[in-house]
Parts: sequence; C-alpha cells; structure tokens
Amino acid sequence: MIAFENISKKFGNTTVLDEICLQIPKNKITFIIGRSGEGKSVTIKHIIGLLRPDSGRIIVDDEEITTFNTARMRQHRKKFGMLFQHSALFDSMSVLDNVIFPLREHTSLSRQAMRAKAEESLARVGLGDVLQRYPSELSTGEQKRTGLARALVNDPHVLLYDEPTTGMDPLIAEMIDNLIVKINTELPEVTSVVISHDIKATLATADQIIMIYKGKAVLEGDPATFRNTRDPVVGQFMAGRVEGPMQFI
Amino acid sequence: MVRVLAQPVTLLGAFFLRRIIGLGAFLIFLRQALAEVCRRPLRLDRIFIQLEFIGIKSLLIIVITGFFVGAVFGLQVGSIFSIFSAESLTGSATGLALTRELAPLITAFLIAGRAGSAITAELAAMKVNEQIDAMEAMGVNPLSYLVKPLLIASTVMMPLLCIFFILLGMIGSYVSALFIFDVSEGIFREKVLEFIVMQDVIAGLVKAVFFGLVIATVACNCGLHARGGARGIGEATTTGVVTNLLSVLCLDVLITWIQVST
Ligand SMILES: Nc1ncnc2c1ncn2[C@@H]1O[C@H](COP(=O)(O)OP(=O)(O)O)[C@@H](O)[C@H]1O
Ligand SMILES: [Mg+2]
Repeated sequence: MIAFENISKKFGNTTVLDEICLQIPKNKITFIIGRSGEGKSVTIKHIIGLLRPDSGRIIVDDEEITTFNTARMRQHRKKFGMLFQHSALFDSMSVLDNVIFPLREHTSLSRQAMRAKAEESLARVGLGDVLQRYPSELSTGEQKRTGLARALVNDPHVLLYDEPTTGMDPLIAEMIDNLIVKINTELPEVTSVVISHDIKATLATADQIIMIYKGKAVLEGDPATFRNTRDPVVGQFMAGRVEGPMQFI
Repeated sequence: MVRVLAQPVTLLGAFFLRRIIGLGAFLIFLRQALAEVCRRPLRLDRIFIQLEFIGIKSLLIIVITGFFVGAVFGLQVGSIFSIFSAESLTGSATGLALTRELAPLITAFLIAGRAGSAITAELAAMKVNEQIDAMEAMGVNPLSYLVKPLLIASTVMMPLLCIFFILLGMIGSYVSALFIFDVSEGIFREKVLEFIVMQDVIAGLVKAVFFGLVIATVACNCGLHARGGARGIGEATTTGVVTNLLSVLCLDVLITWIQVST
C-alpha cells in the first residue's frame, strides 16, 4: 500500500501538488488520470523518491519513505520498475544492453542468463528483432516498449507506468494494456500504477482510479464510481468535453 | 544617488556570493565522488573505456601540440640566448619551462577542451532526457556508474599525457636548437641533463594529477546540473569549459606557489 498524506510540491512559484492525499492499494492496478501538466508524472516520481515533497508524508509498505536518506532511498527503489513518459533509454547502449542494465547492476547472474532474461522480457513486449539496435533507431512506440522491458526485467514488486500506451498504434496499445493485466494476474503480489489518457482502457482495466485536478485528488474509486459520478469536473474529463467547469487555456 | 552608488557593490557582492556558493557545491560534489571511488563495485570495464576516451584518443593532439610548443619556445629562447652567445642552453631552458609549467598547463587546457566538453555535453544530455533519473530509479548511483570511472581515468591519464607532451616538446626544441642555432647534439643533451632534475619533472606531474582530477570533476558537476532542453546542454558545456580553464589556472597558481615556497 502506498499512501500520500498532505503532499505539497512547488516548482518555483507554481504549485503542482497542493496537500494531496491519495491511497494506492496493494496488489491491484491503479490508474491515475488527469489533464496533461496536472502533476501525474510528478506524483509517481515521488513514490520512488526521484522528487522530494516540500511537505507531507509518503508511506510505502508501512515505511515513511520521506525520511529516507539517499542511500536508503536507492535500496527502496530496487523493488520498483518504472517506465518513463519519454522512455529515458540510455542512448549510448543497444536495446539489449539497456534491458540487461538493471540485471548487471543488481544480480550476479551469468552473462548468458542475463541475456536470456532480457530477451524474454523483450519478447513479452513484442520486441524480438531489434536487440542490437540503438534507441535513436527505434520508433517512439518501440522505445517505450524497450523501456517497458527494462522496467519488467528485474521482477519488481511495484510497477510504475507513465503513459505506457501514448503514441502507440491501437493494436500495440491493446497489447500493452493486456500485458499490464497479465502481469498483475500472473504475479498477484505485484502492484501496478498506470498513468493514462485512455479513458476506455482505464475503465476496462483499472481496479482503482484516481483523478488529479488542481493539485488534489478530486475522486478516488473503482470504475463504477467513476461511471456514476456526479462531479462535474470528473464527468467532463471522462466524456472528453471541452465545455464545462474545467478550463483549457 | 545612494542607490546608484550601491548598485555596483551589490552586483559585485552577488557575483562573489554566487562563486562562493558554486565552490561550496563543487567541493561537496568532489567529496561525494571521491567517497564513491573508494566504494565497490570497482567498475574496471567502465574505467578502461574512459581511459581510452580521455587518454588514447587525446594522444594525437597532445603529440602535435607538444612538438610545436617545444619548437617555438626553443626558437624564442634561442634567439634571446644568442644575444649573449648562450644558445647551448636552449634545450635546458625549454625543458625547465616544459616540465614545470607548460606541459601540465597546456595538456590540461587541451583535455578540458577536448574531453571535458564532451563529458559535460553527454552528461547534460543524459540529465535533460531523464536518463540520469532513470538510472536513479533503478537504484544505481550515477556518481558510481558515470562519474567515478571518469574521475579515475582523468587523474591517471593526465600525468601520462603530460609526459608525452614533455618528450615531444623536447624533440621540438632539439630540432630548433640543432637546425636554427647550430647547437651540437652532444652539448644539447649534456645541458639538458645538467639542468633538469627529476624534481622538476615530478613537480610538473603533481600538477597534472590535480588538474586531471579537477577537470573531470568540474565537467561532471556541470553536466549533471544541466536544466532545460538543447539550450541547457549548450549552456552547461560552455560553463563547464570556462570553469575548467579558470579552475586550472587558479590551481596552477596555488600549486606553483606551494612548490616554490617549500
Ligand atoms: N523538474 C521540474 N522542474 C520544474 N517544473 C516541473 C518539473 N517537473 C514537472 N514540472 C512542472 O510540473 C507540472 C506537472 O508536470 P507533470 O507531472 O509532468 O505533468 P503530467 O500530469 O502531464 O505528467 C508541469 O507544469 C511541469 O512544468
Ligand atoms: Mg507526465
């Protein structure tokens, strides 16, 4: 279980998170939705301590990670796998080396075992034939899938997906959505946190949904709660309407 | 009126305050990086890659520059010394200047320009593309994976490159002395060996070691603190090179002062 208690985060004068409180249940798939620029990426970066809050507490598995020092935080991060919004692949390494990287750093497997594991992870995301290519030679979708393979390779307990299907064709997007569900059902001890813009996929796959608006969590609940909501802001976002209380400037 | 007079003082104060804060941040970074050098894993493979990048790939420019600096310095010194018929001392004068000052300083400038700028640009690109964050997210310390091998390689390679610079510089001055000032080979060698002692060479190499450490640290520090997009990478690289040149000069004064007063 991951809990944010009154987390605030400012960059300069812009308040991104404003005393936000939210709860991400263990062993479930939680979707975080909201307009772009609303602080979704900032939120999940707080979970692994890439960003530190200005105030408030973050609790992960009964530990208050906001008090961790740098070394302890690095230890904490080893149970996570994170897919970055812009993939963040190491562009000096081939696809295979990118996926092997976490294994090389944190396991003592033989070279062949690492390679086999990396290839298996790449095959899961449908990338079997680009092993020796460099990230700059891949399409955006392929880069993201490589990032996904890298996040999955170390068998993490918590998976953080930052817009895993944005910029992909519908077939690949469907495949990734199915993969997220498959990983969670095959490995029941895994907790998944997904940032998404795809309302249809969100309602179909999520166990829990959190909507962020103006630095707060406006609504938390299962897909049924979101379908039946009377909250005008949430309703507008779900319906994808431009007119409504939510302003687009 | 008072405002107008106070303004330059405020600006000057702000300038020095920023420098002092910058120096403080640099020293903290240096301490953390050095702590990582002593920590496992050793990362030999990464160190060898950087030894090649900083050392082998800089050899050609060092060799060429060394030869020409030695030759030109030989010409200048020779033409002055010939006024009082002391051309035979061309080699020893050039040698002293090279070993104690010119070789470490110019090598440092060349490496700061060639390797330092590349290091800053690469790390800055990794920073703004979130690759550094990705590394952190995987629980890997960028100071250990990226910075430590560079620090070690630069500190080891700088004195070696400096030795090459001295050797080629001596060949350059030998060419000047022999062909322009008709010094005989025997005299040239005799005077060089008479005036240049091991201590001069060591004094130069000590400088080179410190320059190597500082250049890599400054380059990494500037790269890892880049912000923004392509523009941020450019700014970080410029800051890195300028800071490096100034740091090397300051350090040179400091070390020379310690060396001559002991
Ligand atoms: N490192 C940073 N420095 C300054 N501002 C940032 C930083 N990271 C995010 N922001 C700002 O925080 C806001 C939320 O960003 P983000 O979480 O990436 O949005 P999204 O919900 O689309 O993922 C944006 O306005 C962005 O400009
Ligand atoms: Mg985002």
